[in-house]
Amino acid sequence: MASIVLDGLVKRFGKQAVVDHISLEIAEGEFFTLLGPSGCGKTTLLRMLAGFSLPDEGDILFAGGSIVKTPPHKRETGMVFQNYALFPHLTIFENVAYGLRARNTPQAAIRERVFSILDAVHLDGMGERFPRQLSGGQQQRVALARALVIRPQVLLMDEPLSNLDAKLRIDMREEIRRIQKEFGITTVYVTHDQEEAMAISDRLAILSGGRLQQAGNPREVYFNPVNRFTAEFMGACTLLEVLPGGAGDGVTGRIDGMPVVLDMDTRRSPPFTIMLRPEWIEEAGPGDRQNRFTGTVRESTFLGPAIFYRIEAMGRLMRVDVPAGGRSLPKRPGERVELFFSPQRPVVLAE
Amino acid sequence: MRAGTLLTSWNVIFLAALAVLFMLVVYPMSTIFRASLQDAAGGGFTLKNYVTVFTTPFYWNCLVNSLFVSAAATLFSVLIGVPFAFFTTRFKLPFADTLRTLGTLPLILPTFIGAEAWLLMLGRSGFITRFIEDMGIRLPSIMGWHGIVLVFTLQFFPFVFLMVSAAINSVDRSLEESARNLGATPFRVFRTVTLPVVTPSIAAGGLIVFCMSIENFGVPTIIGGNVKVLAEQAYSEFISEMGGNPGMAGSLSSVLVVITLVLTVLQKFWVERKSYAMSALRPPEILKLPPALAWAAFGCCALVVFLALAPFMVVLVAAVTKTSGPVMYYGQFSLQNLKAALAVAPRPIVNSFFLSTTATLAGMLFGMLVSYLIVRKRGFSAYTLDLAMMLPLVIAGSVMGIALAATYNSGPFPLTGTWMILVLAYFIRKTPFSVKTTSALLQQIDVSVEEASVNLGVPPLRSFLKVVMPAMLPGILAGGIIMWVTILAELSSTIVLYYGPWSTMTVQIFQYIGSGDFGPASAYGALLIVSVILPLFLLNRVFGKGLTSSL
Repeated sequence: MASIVLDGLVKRFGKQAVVDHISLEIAEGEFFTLLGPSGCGKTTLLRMLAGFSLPDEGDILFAGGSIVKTPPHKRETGMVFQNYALFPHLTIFENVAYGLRARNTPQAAIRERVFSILDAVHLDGMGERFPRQLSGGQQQRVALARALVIRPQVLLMDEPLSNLDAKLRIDMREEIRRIQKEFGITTVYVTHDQEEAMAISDRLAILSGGRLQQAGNPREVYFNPVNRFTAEFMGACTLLEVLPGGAGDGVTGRIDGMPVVLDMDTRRSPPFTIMLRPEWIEEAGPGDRQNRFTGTVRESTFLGPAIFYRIEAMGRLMRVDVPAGGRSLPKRPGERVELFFSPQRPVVLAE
Repeated sequence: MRAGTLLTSWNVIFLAALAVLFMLVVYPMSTIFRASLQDAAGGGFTLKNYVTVFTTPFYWNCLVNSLFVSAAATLFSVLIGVPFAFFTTRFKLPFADTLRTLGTLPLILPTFIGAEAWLLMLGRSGFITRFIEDMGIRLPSIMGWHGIVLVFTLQFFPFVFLMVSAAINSVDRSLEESARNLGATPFRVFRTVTLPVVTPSIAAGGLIVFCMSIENFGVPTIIGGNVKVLAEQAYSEFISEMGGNPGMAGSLSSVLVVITLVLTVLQKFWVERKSYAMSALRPPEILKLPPALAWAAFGCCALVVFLALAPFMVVLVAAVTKTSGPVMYYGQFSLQNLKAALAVAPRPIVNSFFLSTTATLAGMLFGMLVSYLIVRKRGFSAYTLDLAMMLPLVIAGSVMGIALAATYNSGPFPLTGTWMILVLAYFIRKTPFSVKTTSALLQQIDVSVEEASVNLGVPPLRSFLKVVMPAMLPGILAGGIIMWVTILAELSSTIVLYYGPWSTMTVQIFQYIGSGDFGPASAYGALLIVSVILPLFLLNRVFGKGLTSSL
């Protein structure tokens, strides 16, 4: 187990920096996710941790010691590949035993450790099979077992769930989370799925264009995104331009002519952009005076627990989510609604 | 640890591979190219040898003949190969599997033995010719361009058939289904979707047929009669009893190489770009035909297969037929010729096996390393190596033989006249097969499998041996077997390079045919046919079908 420090990492392919001065600290035992769209540099970053890609600048420390000069096979990282990369010519047992044999572990210890890890990932009794005889989810667990059995300092996972179907993906991410906590192993996980990242991580980092956008725990990045990219990447949102034009009563500025009240500790004054999550916009009751506006329902989507509306208001379409069984009655397209958002809710984006 | 040091051992292998290709392809070819530009008398620079090719009627005819028979063979191969592919792949025919397997066989059967067989049947004293003459009808001789085209077509149509049927199978069913769904009739779907999608493969197969035909030496020599072609004439100029004419041999060779090179470049940059292969999840539906049509289609395909393979049966029969000189006593069983081949003069057989095995082992090792470099290291250098590795394929066997013989005649490596130069020629001509089969397989092994091994603590080179090698093994073996059988059947470079004691089965056959001794020729021919079919049969049994397609 080891803490990880990334210090000013840069990786260029040709002239383009795919990893651009990234610094991060990952605590011992933490489940840390690198999140971002394809091409954001997250996989390159992970491969630098494993040693398959070498940084052009910067340093990587495991438990306080630099490992940049350590070749990949001596880094003691356990990696789970996107396509699992199981050895097709070896049985499940031999796949899992592979790293132990490379470490000259005694035969008896190999058997014991392989059986116990196969137990832990619920694959007991599968040892004699070959990878092609296993389902996707099972192969996934073999890959995890193979990486864990060597008791690595760091567990690295590269989009391990992307080849599984939606239902299995949710089961497996809970399974991975359980096993990671059980082993208490520092884990760096790569994904482009923000929901998966929030569900599984202690903390996560959002990358775009090789740059770190924001790092924090799932609640922080969801509720307090620092910029437009993070705000939009972490979930649906409405972005509104606030222009100067306040006049008493704590009015901060105007959106599309409407006075807005923002009850927040900000040294910034308009113009700036605020972000609203769909569930922060609610149907206005008689008492809701501030930040009140009128909109027209254009579309409604029933999802079971919630209803998603697209509502035209303030010259734009915005998404508004309400619980399906809540006090708001279902609205039909074309209906006009009175809406508001609480002054505490909006997030001012740094741009 | 920088990427540079990680790959040092591979860099060494890369440079060694380039050096081998330089010494065995580039340098020898430049030697004969230089010779073609040299004045025979003074040694000064001259274009005379090229002017001669294009102005002397005799040489000009060679060029025209080469182009004509190759074009005709290509046309007929397409006309036969495309329907054959569609019938056996898309339709439910009786014995479709058998047709496909037998339809592939002509590829590995030696072409010059096919030519010999047609002489046995339709030559001046062929048994069919005589049978018909007995009825009072005089048949025109099979000797001439029509004989050449017949043999080429029957032996090379499988290239078109295999490429097209692979293309058919690599198009997902959804493509045709969506065309139907959009309202197209089945015929319209065929015309507007199916056929255009396989067209690049027809072109690719056709180009291979053309190249194989134009570089072929044995068939035109045996069955061509007065029709001389480039591959044959280059050999004659070089070997000539009058002391040979290296300049003319050089210019004829260069013209031949330029033709195949241009076509191959066309294929690489045009056909490959137009390839529509998808990773087919569901291969297209196999259509049912009304029984009468199905049997008619079966009949056509069976007839083609029969015409392509029957000649080889004739050779097998001739091998155990009583002979005296050119006269065959069909119906009279005799082991005299086989005995002579096996007991009295077994040396050529031993030579063939020895040379073939040696060159194959070297080619397998080389092919494995080069495949790895090409597939895994990518980048400009790997691309260069990939292209260079395919160079030997555009060089006709006789030209390659001439180039090696002329280059290593003297100098620091006087190899001409030793068995080693035969091994080198075989090695360089056939290793591309090994590279092809091995790299095809390697491409399917994701690089992450190797990285997983390194990640688990096994150093890179040992990871390669432990994880990649076992997965590559079927490809290496298949490539090796293909190398081995094609070397056994190799005539064109052997005939240039062999000397006295190192005669091979193919040389024996060729010379016996030349002197009209069809009995001994057939005996060696039968042994060769069996030695070539048996390993491929085993290969199919062990690895399942389809590996012959890597030819």
